[in-house]
Amino acid sequence: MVADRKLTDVELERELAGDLPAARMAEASDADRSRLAELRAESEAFLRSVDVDMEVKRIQQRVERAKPEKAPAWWRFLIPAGALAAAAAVLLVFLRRGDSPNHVDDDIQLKGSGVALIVHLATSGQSQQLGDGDSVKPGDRIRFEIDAPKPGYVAIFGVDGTGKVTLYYPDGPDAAKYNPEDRLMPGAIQLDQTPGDERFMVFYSPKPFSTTTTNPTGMKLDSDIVVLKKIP
Amino acid sequence: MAWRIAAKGGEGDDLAELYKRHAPALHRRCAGIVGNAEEARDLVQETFARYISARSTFTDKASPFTMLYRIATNASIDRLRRRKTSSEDELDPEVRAGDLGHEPHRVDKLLDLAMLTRGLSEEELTVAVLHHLDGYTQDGIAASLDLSRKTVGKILAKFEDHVKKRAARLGYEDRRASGG
Repeated sequence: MVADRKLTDVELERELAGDLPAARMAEASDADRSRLAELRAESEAFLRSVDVDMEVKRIQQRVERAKPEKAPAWWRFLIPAGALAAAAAVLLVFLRRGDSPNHVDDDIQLKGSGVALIVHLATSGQSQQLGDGDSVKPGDRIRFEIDAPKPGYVAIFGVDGTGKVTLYYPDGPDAAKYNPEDRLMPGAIQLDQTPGDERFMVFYSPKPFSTTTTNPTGMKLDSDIVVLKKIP
Repeated sequence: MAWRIAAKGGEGDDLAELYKRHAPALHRRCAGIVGNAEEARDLVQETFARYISARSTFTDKASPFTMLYRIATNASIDRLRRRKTSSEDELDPEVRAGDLGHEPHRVDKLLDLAMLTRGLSEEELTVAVLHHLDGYTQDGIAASLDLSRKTVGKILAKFEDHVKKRAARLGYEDRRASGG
């Protein structure tokens, strides 16, 4: 920041938006006011360059597109953790061999950067995003969001503190179709009493794959993992 | 018919008015990250759409400006991640700089941040970007986002911890130890 500036650019943006307390603006230096004038001129030029009504219409269209077809409270789909455990899942056997999806069998090539798993903790009808190392407790309800660049196929697995592997999504032997426009996965899980860290892993491929494949050789999957600490 | 955006206090905002009040700042923010004015305009639309869709679920007391600014930062970084993934990572720095409209060193910082901030909340990501990309001090971030200095410090410490864990998971520490 320039030495004689007292306010940051973000604060000046807030001033333009009518969001900065007057007391704070009173501390502005001449350099701040000069920068504010520049930003104001840029803002006016931007608004002259766009058709505001058209932009608003496009925003409205995006909002409409983002609405779910059915909008019941998502916890109506609550699924107890473990209920969807995949039997005879050979893919899971490979998963058990390592602590992370980057250490699974060499037959499965994991690329690791094309997909992100985002975990949400649901609380009283709202949700809070959780990151690696955040704490959860038994009974917490978890919802999954997947961020991948292109349409494809996805599956989400969990490994609990005892090493038990569970297929959480989808409920079946084939990976679910994924559309980047619908990042939030349907349903939710409720954490059980099993002690230890909970590891959630997403696998993504542009091509269909089986969650119970008996022939993983040559599979190319993108993956991501989130590890949560479970406290009693 | 004008869209009115319900606010927590019961008041409503006309969407067009909200756009005029905040879009210029959001456009600057998005363009500063993705380096392309047209893409930034698209991101501003996305920012408002996300804000409207999630408005009823917001739990903190941040102002509309702060919420929109966080969403815009998150959406822009998100866009960079996708671009990095689809370009299979290793582009020539000068080509990437031209594509992003930034200096090469800023591009490297941006791309690193884009990958390292995956999984962080919008607030954490915004703080990390302001500090590590825009060079804001902790005091500057606190004043900009209406946070306490202590909260900013905690978020940055969490970010550093997040980066270390991610690096460890990707095996960077093992490789360094073995000279690889």
